[in-house]
Amino acid sequence: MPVDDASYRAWDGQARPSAMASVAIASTMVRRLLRQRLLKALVIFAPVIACVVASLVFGLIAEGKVRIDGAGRPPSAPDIASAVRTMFGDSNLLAYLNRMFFPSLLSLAVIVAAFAGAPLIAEDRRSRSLALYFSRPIRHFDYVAGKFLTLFFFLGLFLLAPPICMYLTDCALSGEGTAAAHLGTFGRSLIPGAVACCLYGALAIGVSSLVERTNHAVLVFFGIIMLAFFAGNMLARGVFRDPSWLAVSPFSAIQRITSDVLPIPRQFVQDNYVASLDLSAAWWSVSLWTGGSLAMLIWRIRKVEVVA
Amino acid sequence: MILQTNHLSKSFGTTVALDDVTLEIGAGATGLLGPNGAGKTTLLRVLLGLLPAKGTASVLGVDPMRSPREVRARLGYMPESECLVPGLYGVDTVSFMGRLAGMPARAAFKRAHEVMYFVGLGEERYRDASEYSTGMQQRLKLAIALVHDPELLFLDEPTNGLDPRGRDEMLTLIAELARDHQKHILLSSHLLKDVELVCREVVMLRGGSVARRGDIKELTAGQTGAYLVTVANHDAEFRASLTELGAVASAKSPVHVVLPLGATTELIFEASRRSQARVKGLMAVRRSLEDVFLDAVEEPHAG
Repeated sequence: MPVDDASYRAWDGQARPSAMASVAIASTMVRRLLRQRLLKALVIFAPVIACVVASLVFGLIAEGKVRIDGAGRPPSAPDIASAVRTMFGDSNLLAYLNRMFFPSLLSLAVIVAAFAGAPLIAEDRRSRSLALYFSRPIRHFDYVAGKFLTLFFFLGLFLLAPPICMYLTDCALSGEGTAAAHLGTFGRSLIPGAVACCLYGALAIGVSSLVERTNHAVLVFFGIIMLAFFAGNMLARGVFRDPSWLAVSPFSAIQRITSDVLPIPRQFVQDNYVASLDLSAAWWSVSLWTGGSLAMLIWRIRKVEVVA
Repeated sequence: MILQTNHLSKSFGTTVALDDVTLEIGAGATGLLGPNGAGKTTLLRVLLGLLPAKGTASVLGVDPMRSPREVRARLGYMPESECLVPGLYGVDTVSFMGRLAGMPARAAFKRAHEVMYFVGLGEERYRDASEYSTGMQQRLKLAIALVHDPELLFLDEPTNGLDPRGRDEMLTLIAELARDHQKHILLSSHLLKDVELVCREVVMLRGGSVARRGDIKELTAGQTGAYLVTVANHDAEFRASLTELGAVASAKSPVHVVLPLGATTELIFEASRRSQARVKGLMAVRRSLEDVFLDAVEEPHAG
């Protein structure tokens, strides 16, 4: 067709409304959100830092194993490597690295969830584009799933890419047999990230469906996380002096789950107070926060569509 | 029959938006006329399956309340309000909506370019849609409605916010779609001229119920008792004779004559005999769509 042909042409293809609508929503939204520099920098930052840290640690270990003269190398490298290996053992070191790295990721993931999740429905409401979405043959499920996939892309990249990068670096630098030997630890290292993805994702999108302005959604999301964190700690440490109250905070609950799935020697655990939270209470907390956010989202999205 | 409703009613709290709407709409372009708040947009949304309502409806042979996705796959909707997805280029918006309609990604992208050229936005494809002027946004919404090549188009106030030139261009595009590409169109508007230019049939809504419907030619063909008469000579005497016989005659030529109630054109010829004026032309004055609309809107509500 000539580029300037302005005549109307019939389309002879076959349109097939399907579940791929959610993929279409997700891919379009991801491309749009990636134009935000802060978000782009955050999701690239985490895996890069993870690679650098893992390369240093496993590289030092590997160097300690190789019998070559020390010329040209930092003189302490083999000693550090040897000391680290003695303390942890091979598989525990991967768990320790993930455990050390995860709380920072979990804190920063709040920012990722807020900035990637807050505009997803709030902007559609404000711009009234829901009228366009729902004039197409899509279901509520497709719309919500598309928004979730968008947020999972960002949260997944931020929370799951670092353990993957660490495992791959470990495999690359620690010699043969590492991939199989550390597979279990690697699998467990993905669990806290996956749990946080679901919880933060559901909460951020749920909040996004409540308001019409992105800024408000960001503030409400931050407010809920911070309020729950301070309330949990205040109730647990001050008012009731019972660590069960830490379960009020999703942040503490996820940290407790992390300590369960990635156990490391007790002397390396910096704050034991979260570890005193009952594990089942932590899982209940995560389930209630995620389920409650989803229920709010489902209730809200039906109302929103009607008034779109 | 493209579209059919049977005793369709919809209320929002105590406000009745649709009140027992029963209508049938055939192929081609049909206008949906009514003052603001008459229920036009609500009717479109019920027919899209976006709102539940009492009664039954059928769009392209499908019940929109039972199978809304099937209906939406076969029709294109151009909403009245500003509703573009923020932060996307024009062509990406159209392509995205094509994908949501079930088109494969590549086909949607190629088709998006075609329809952007058709609506006259070819050169503006790669601009952020939120930077578009009102006229361009209206064109973009038409492109979105057309991207999956639907059989039926619901166009809600498509000329809103357009300047006279933009309005003409938009109406020309819509008329071309109906005339040359056999698209069925339901054009909702409060602008009578828009409907008159594009549509063959019209449905007039008032207070949520159907006030008039039918072929525009038939609706405007009703007797008004008014005629335009051209006479070759004795203008003044002709007017005086008409006045004597009880008619109202204008001072300008051709003479606009309004006959008294019950009188026929025989009265005009009687006046011409009396004044010895030679009648060169006689034409009945048709009712305008505006006359029909005002009658429909102002007559007492049956309900």
